[in-house]
Parts: sequence; structure tokens; C-alpha cells
Amino acid sequence: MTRLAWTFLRSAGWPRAALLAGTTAVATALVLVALTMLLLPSQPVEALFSLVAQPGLRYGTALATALLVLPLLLLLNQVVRLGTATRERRLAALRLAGATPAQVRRIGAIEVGLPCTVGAAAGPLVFAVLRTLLGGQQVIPGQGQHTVDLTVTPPSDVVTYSSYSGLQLIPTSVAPAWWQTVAVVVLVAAAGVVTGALASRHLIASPLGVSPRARRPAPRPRGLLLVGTGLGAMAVALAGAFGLGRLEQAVLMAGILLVVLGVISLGPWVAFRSGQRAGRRTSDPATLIAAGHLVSDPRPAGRAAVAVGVIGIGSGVAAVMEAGLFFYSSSIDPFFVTSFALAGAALVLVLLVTASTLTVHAAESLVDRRRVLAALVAAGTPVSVLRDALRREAMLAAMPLSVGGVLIGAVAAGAVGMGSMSSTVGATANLAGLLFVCGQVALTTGLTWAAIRIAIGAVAPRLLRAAAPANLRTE
Amino acid sequence: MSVSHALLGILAQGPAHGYDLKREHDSRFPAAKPLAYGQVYATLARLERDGDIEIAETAQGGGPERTVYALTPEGRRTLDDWLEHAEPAGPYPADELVRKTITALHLGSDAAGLLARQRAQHMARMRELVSEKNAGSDLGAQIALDHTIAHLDADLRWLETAAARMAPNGKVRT
Amino acid sequence: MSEVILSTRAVEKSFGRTQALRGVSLELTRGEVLAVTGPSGSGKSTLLHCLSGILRPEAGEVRYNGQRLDDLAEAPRTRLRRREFGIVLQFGQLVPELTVEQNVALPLLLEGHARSAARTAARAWLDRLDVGHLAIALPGELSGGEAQRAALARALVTGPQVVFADEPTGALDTVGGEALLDVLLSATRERGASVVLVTHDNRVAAHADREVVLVDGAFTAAGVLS
Repeated sequence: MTRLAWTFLRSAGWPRAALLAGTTAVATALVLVALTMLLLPSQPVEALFSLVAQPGLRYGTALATALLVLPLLLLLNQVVRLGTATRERRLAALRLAGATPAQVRRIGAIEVGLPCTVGAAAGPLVFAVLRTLLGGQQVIPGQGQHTVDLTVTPPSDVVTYSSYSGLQLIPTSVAPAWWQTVAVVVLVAAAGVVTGALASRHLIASPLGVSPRARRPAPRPRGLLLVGTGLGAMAVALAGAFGLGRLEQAVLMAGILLVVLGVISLGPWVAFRSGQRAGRRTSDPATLIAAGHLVSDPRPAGRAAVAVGVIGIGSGVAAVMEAGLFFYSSSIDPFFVTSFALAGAALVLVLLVTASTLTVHAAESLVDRRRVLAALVAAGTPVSVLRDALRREAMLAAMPLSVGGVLIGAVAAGAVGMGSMSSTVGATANLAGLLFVCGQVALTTGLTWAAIRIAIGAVAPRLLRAAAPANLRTE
Repeated sequence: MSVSHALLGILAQGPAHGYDLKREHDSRFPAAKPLAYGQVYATLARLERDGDIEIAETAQGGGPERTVYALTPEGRRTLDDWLEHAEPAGPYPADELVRKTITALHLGSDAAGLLARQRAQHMARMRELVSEKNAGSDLGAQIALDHTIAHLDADLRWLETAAARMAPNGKVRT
Repeated sequence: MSEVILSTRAVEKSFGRTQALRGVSLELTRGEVLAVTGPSGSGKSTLLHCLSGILRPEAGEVRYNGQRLDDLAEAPRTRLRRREFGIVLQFGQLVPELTVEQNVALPLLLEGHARSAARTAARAWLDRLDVGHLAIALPGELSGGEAQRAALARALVTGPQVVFADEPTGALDTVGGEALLDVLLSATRERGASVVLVTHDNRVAAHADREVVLVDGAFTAAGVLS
């Protein structure tokens, strides 16, 4: 069984395994970074960027770092599903030949689990590299580089620093204990193995594979419940129900997590409804094809577009905080500017990851639909229409999530901000804040649009190959 | 008569005894009834009378069993003439069609041409039958026509298989 | 003498080191039904693809109504194919995520017609071919014969001058295949359209006016004009 899995792994090609290993390595490293941040004592003995140095900000930063892992996991999910059609046929053939469901599951687990384990094991190495590049500097006591005001909570008050040099994000004075590192590595690797086993779940049932003759049930908006609960918990926490301090922070964090998870699970439903609405009234063939494909199977597109929703949330939060900075503070602090620059850079990076996710998904769906695409071209459909259909499909799934994410993030951050802000702000400032958020929405959706164009552009050669007449073969 | 043509086809590959002719004929056409010696010698006598074959040599002691026959130029013309023309397409037992095709394949010369001509003949007949089917509405007639069409199709597919088994130089693959 | 609507001259096409067509010349007249037969692998489908402008040959020329088809760029060639030709394949040609009606309307939408007009025309053709009751079904829910009729409707919806059919009855049983062939030929005859019918089935070929036999990428014999 293991030998068989090893053969399959080799035949699938190094790119897929390398992508799996790479994503897992980076994910592991990020988790280790977050962990290290949390291990800092309240008064760190090294010079670190305030986002990390201040305990109040630290939790947020650690959470944000850990959240960065999410888009990576989504990309991982997509890569795992790469080559689904071939894998389904292969596994179905195994089942016909007499392999038990458990054996098939094991093969799937190894096929994915092995690269993921290798990647997770390499995680600490990536972590070490990141530390060297972005590590904190040891401070010699007495040569006070800067003053840290620990009683400050952002974003309403101004904090002054005499100097901060460079990007010191990752603590070097503390490190995760060896058992903590091992635990993280094992957890991430295990997550990979489980994903691999689950990816072939539906195949286990029938050796004849999946034949989509009947319409599949539409996705339900269960995620709304999670979002609602999360926002509700945050509102309750901010109203002071849990007092101030660690419990309030924990509930807030939990609320944020629920909101994020809710948005993630809403992906397929949003894609489905978006496709339904677009397909009903359109005369445009590209939109018709895109909408039809979305409605018939919204799950893959929805999953791929979820990263956009996560970015949206982050972007919305950042918008509100920026608004708070510009309109409610008396001066502009380089700390905040740099923080937001960092956050912006992180968002752009994540956007690139999203573009990759969308590319992988589009490439995947092309392989499955080769004959249909070739037949469309044979019947006189220009390839440009097919490319537009791919683009439109991604847009239909991603745009609502993008806009929705920003709005949700802005509302959440606004609520948090309101709670700790003085009430001396004027109406004009509020309006300006609103405009700021609208601007952020425009910016985020613009970036999403660009990411989708890049992604589909990258997939264009595959589209040409898929639509080639060779795929019309009848004999 | 196609037996005489088949014998001419065998003689075209070299002179032979009557006994050899019977054996070769039976081996070439295993589906047909084995030839009786009497029939062989009667056919040979007729062919000699018509000038299509001649006696090449007579063994000691005479008698038809010991005589070696050979093809004459006129006989060659008779044979080629027979091979030149495609058999009419019919569902009746296609002895003649089979004999002609196999003889042509053994001789190698323009077997491809014969097969093409034969195909054209059959296809023309099939087209006629299809038109008849489309024109008529009586179910019984349709079914009867289906039968004829199916058998013509069978002959055609057999011709294609025979062509496929031919070696590139036109001779039968061994 | 009927006018020649589609012709090729010395067309050659290779895929890598395999030469699929080795100098093929033929003429198709208006309203004619031409069968292209031959063993599998002989290049019949490739010939059909070159005739319909799906593929460009490496040598030789393809002319439609006197105009060169093979040296057109992809966009005008696709446009021409959409307007003047109709293609029916053996199976798998309908978009599984769109309804039958949407599938049939697609070429009209590509031509720029409004949704409602396209829908009406699509329905009309589906009714003509006796599958109007399946308009809002998905292709996966249709039987083989029904799906082929829907595919035929899509091929005919733009009023083509030439219909190319590549083993259209291949996946159907004898009676179903004959029914499809009947409906295909009567629909095209009504409009005076020509048909190029690629098949390895002699009985299907017998429905054509004329046959050309392709073996190893070249013609061996031309059939007799009836």
C-alpha cells in the first residue's frame, strides 16, 4: 500500500508535492512565530516593534499572524484537490480492483500526508530564517533606546517612541520549547494527513466514482449563524459583560474567530446565489456559462474565493483603525503608519496567495471540462468567451465576499473602536470615517479584481490546451 | 460457373494435377462443400474444350489423374475478366462473392481494386434499399428490408476485414 | 450541375510525427449528403475538423463558397463556423451545467441576440425535433437519443449551410440511430443544407448520396453518384 502511494506521489509530479511541502513549511513557521510572540514576558528584554512589544497589541498581532495561516491552508486545500479527476479515476479503479475503503483512505492520506510532513518538519528551519531576517535586537540595559508605555491601548491614544530601528517583529529572546515546536510540527503535519484522507472521502462510498447526473443540493447559509454569533459575542463583550482584561480579550478574539470561520463557510452559498442571480437575466454567453457552472457546483469556487473574504475582513478592520488614526488622533505616529504599512504588505501577499488559489481552482476545473470546452469551440464559441467565463465565475464568487468581508470587518472594528473611544468626535469626522471605509472597499475590491485577472491570465495557456480539438476525440 | 473460375485462379499460380486442384480448392474454400473428383475432371474437360486450359504433360500410364494442366493465355483473359467485374450485391448465399474475393487475394493483382469496386456495388444497393425503406410505410416490408440491409452490411464488413488481412504487397498474409 | 459549396485541395495535416491526412481533395455540392467512411484511425475526424475550420491544415487549401477558410485568423474562422456550419458529435457536447434550452440558445447569444429572442428560437427548434418538453432539463437527465436531438437543435439554430456530423449515432442503438439520422437528414434537406457524415457504420453511410473512403489519411475509392 505504501509503495503504491509512493508511485502515485511520483507520478503526480514534483510541483504538486513541492507546493504542498512549501505551503506547510510556511504555515508551520507562522504558527511558531505566533507562539513565540505569546511566550514573551510583559516586559521583553529586546528591542521589538511595538506591535509585538506591547502586551496589549501583542495578542492581536499573534492572532493576526496565526490568521495569516488561513489563506495558506486554503491554498493547500486547493492544491490537494489538484488533479481530482485523475485521482478519482485512479482511486475508483483501485476500488474496482478490490481495495477496501480503508486502504483507499490510507493511500490518499499518504499521498498528501508525506509532503505535508516533510514541509512541517522544515517549518522550524523557515522560522529560524525569518527570525534572522526579522528578529528583535538584544537590548543592553541602561542604554535606553526607547520608552515603552505599557498602559496604552490603541488606537485612540498616541504613543511616542524615541526611535525604533528596522523591522523587528520576531522575538529572539524567547523561543518555543522543543516540545512546543514538535507539537506544532506534528499538528500541522497531522492536519495535512487528515486533509488528504478527507479529500477522497466521497470516493470511498462507491467504486464507480461520482457521476453528476442529478442536481446536487444547494448550499445553505449556515455560516450566517456563525457570523451572527461572533458579532453578538463581540458586542456583548464590548458592552462590558465580561469586564476589562483577559476575559474580555479572549471573548473578543473568540468572536473574531467565529466571524472569520462564518465568512469562510459562507463561500459556497455566496457563490451559488451570486451565480443564480447572474444567470437569470443575462444575455451574455460568458456570464451564462459562468453562472451555470457556479450554480451546478458552487463548492469549489466558493472555497477558492473564501480567501478573498478573509482579506476583506482584515481590510475592513484596517480601514476603521486607519480612520481612527487620521481623524481621532492629534498627530500621526510613525508607529501606526508602519504598522499599517505592514498590514497592507501582508494583505498584498495574501492577495497573491489568493490569486494562486484561484489559478489552481480554475486550472482544476479546466481539466474536468475538457471535452465540453472543446465542443463549445468546435460549435463556434471564441476562446475569449471561455476565458471571460472563467474570469466572471471567479468574480461572481469572490466580489460579494470581498465587499461583505470589508463591511463586516469595518463594523466589527468600528464597534471595538467605539467602545474605547471618547465621545467627543463630531459628525463630520464620522462622515469622513465612513468615506474612508468606502474608499477601502473600493481599494480592496480593486485589488481583488486585479488578483482575479492575474489568476485567469496565468491559466490562459491551460484553457487553450483544454479547448483544443484533440479533446474532441470520439474513437 | 464459379468453380471453373476458381480452378482457373489456382492454375494461374502454376500448372497442377487434378488431384492437387481439388485439394487446393478445398483448402481455400473450407466453408464450401468439398469437390468430388468427378466434378473436378468434368470441369477440367470443359475448360480444355473451351481453350482456357491445356495439357502440359502426361505422366506414364495416361489417365486424367496423372495429367498436368496449365492455364492458356485465353484462360488468363477469362480469369481476369471474371475478376474485373464485381458481383451483384445480394443476400443470397454469396459463394460467388467469396470465391472471387479469395481468388483475387491469392493472386494479389489489384485485389484492392476489386474490393473497392465490390464495395461500391454493395453500397449502391444499400442506398437503394434505404431509399425504399424511407419511401414505404409498411412495417413488414421495413423489417424485410432491414434483413437484406443487415446481410449486405455483413458482406461489406467481411470485405473490409479481408482487405485488412492483406499484406501491403497485395498478397495474403501468412 | 450543382454548385460546389465546400472544397479541399491536397490538404495535409500532421500531429507530431503522425501524418493524419496525406493530400486529400474533395468537393461538396449544395444540398449533398456526403459520407466519409474508413477504418478507425484513418483520419476521418481530422478531415472533418479541417473542413469545418476547427483545425488548420499544414498544406493545401479549404474553400467555403469560394473563399479560403484555412488562412483565416481564429476569430473570423470561429465566427464563420458559428454562423455557417453546424457540428454534431458522438457525445459530450452539451454544457452539463446549462439547461437544454440554454445550450441550444448559446450560439444565438454569441451572435448578440437578446435572451428572450434566443430562447424563443431555441424552443422552436427543440419542438421541431420532438424534445421541446425537455427544455428546462439538464443534459445529464436526458437519454442518449434525446441528448443527440438537443445537440442537433444547437447545430441547426443559426441556420447553417453545412452540417458536420462525427459519428452522431455511435452511442445509440440501431433504431435510435436511424431515428436520429432521419430527423437530421430531413431537417437539413428542408433548408437545402449539405451534410458531411463521418461514420464507420456502413448502414449509416448508406443514407448518404455519396461516399468517400479514407484509409491511412488518403482516399482509396469514390462512391457512385446515385
